[in-house]
Amino acid sequence: MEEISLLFAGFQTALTPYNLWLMFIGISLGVLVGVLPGLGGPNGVAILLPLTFTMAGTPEGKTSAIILLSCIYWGALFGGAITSILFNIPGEAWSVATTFDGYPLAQKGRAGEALTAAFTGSFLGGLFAIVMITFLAPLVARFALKFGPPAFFAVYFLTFASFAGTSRSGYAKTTAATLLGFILAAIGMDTVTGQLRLTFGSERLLNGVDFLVAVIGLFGLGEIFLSMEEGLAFRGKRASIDLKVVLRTWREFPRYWRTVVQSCFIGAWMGIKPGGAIAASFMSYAVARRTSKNPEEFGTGRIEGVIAPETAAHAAGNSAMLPMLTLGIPGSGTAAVLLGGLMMWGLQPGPTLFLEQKEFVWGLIASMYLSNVAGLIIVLATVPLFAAILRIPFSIIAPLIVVVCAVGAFTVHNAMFDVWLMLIFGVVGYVFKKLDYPLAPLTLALVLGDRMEDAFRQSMLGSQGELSTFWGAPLEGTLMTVGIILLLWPALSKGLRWLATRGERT
Amino acid sequence: MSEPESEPTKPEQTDGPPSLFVMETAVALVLVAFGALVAWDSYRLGSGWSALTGPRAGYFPFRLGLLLAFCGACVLGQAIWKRHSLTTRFIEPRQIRPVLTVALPSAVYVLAVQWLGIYVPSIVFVALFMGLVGKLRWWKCVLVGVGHVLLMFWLFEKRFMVPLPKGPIEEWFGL
Repeated sequence: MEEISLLFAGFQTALTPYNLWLMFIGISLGVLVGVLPGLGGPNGVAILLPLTFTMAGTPEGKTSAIILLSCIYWGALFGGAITSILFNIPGEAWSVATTFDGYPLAQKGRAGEALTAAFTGSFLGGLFAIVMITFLAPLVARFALKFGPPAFFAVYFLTFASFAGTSRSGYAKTTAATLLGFILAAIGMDTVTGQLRLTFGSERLLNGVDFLVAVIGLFGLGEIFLSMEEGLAFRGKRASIDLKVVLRTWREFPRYWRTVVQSCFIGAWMGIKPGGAIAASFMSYAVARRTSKNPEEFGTGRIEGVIAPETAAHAAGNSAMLPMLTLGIPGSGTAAVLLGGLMMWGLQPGPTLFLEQKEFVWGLIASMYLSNVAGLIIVLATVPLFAAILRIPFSIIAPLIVVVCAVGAFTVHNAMFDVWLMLIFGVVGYVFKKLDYPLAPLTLALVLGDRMEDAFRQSMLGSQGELSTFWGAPLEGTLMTVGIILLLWPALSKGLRWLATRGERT
Repeated sequence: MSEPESEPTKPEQTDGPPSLFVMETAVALVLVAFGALVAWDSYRLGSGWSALTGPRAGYFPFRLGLLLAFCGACVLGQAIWKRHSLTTRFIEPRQIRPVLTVALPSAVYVLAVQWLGIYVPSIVFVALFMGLVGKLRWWKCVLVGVGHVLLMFWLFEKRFMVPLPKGPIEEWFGL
């Protein structure tokens, strides 16, 4: 049980007063970011990433920095539930399913119960995922150490193929968004040959397009423009959570154990695959309704209808860290930004991280246990405060968020050009959202583009240009084949269904 | 996300904001053009095989560009195929004003930051937006406008030592 002793060492790293203080700050900021429209997990982390550059100068500093940023992520996961239940506005895409039963509960005056149940479910889902990471991650990392460039390319391919195959936006748009991300990542100096690519003579594009700037524009400004369409008048339900409500809800909680368990599994499974928390929350809600004794009551205010999506979203959000830490492939948009952060601090994400940065990895995993507990306490205690923040008029919040986005974009490279780029990305994000182009694969491609290209080039060099190298070994071959099946799955299943119906007719 | 199918399809409109079909087509054409541009520039760089470095610098982007152009063409084809269900407007006329009230000032704000640094434009932008759009009392506008800038200054320049854009006014203060 080497993991246990490493985990305890991790607790020693994470349990300093300074790190606990950062945890508190991170979760509070995260809840704020999750509650406010226009800010969310990905761009909340992106805006604060530049602040960690000075912090991450030392090894201990890197651990502190990842604790701060990951806590923003956990806070945002918690925060989404508050707006969904009290205001019927999902603060995050993964809490859309929470509105279905959360808001009706609030209308009936049971907001306190709904929130307590949501937070408790989130806590359990998160805990499940972290325990899984503790024991599974070292195994996956050890296995992945054997990966050569072709295997890594195959894993990347599988990641993006599963996006295209499962996206609700359709093939063409998902693939177009992914390719756009790759192309943006290719802009600037080519690391192998030193040639300038796609800069069209502009010196400003020499360093390429930073993914942080893109994330802040696409998710931040784009979201503000979108929110403005409805003029945004928040009319929410009041909620007060006191100890009596919490204890009563907890006493009744064991009744929902089945919902919790199945949501944990759905969430953990979906979180490992890219696509993550959003799909997990919807799927878990649908499964909870299907397995319920009275499914027709869903949508009118069932506690299970709140527990299921929140538990799954948290399980998925946490388990998205597993592929990020072991393979260098983030399972969610926010994890992608965190991964970008690791690279900016000079860490090489991937299986070697577990060998070379033991303290960092186990400090982070231990901090996930701690921050999950801290998060539960903080959100239970501060719901009225955050509900009050939502009552601040949008005419104050909107310009402040624009200012924060501008500052965030500028501080990435101290370049005014990035602020202009962010503005352009804001418009692109708005148009893409309205036309249903998915933004998550674009972000993921932008972060992973260079690594994927490197893996491709190294494999090609190794095989002297033979594409068959991707089927050269059982591991790569399996990964590539699964990738292609996933990519073609919608078309395949359509074809099979067509064959089946034709068979019935004749 | 968008729910054009669930809304009752309106009759073809001749004026006002563009329909979804127009926007879908326009974005698809932009994708095709951008993909072609990327492919052309990468071809110029060399998109083939070199004995020294293996795939040349343009190898990957060239193929990405071609694929993107192809995807754009597919979106275009889908839009034309489904044009009868894409007649709803991209944006409702009543929604244009609120979107522009935040989009245009944001652009002016970024332009102002370019010349004056971030502090003064931020005060003016936040205070004016609160006063003119939110119709809030002037002292609240000034309080939030100045307050958030002071907080920003303390957090970034003092606490984390990250410099923010400064202009002639900050220079005059000797910052």
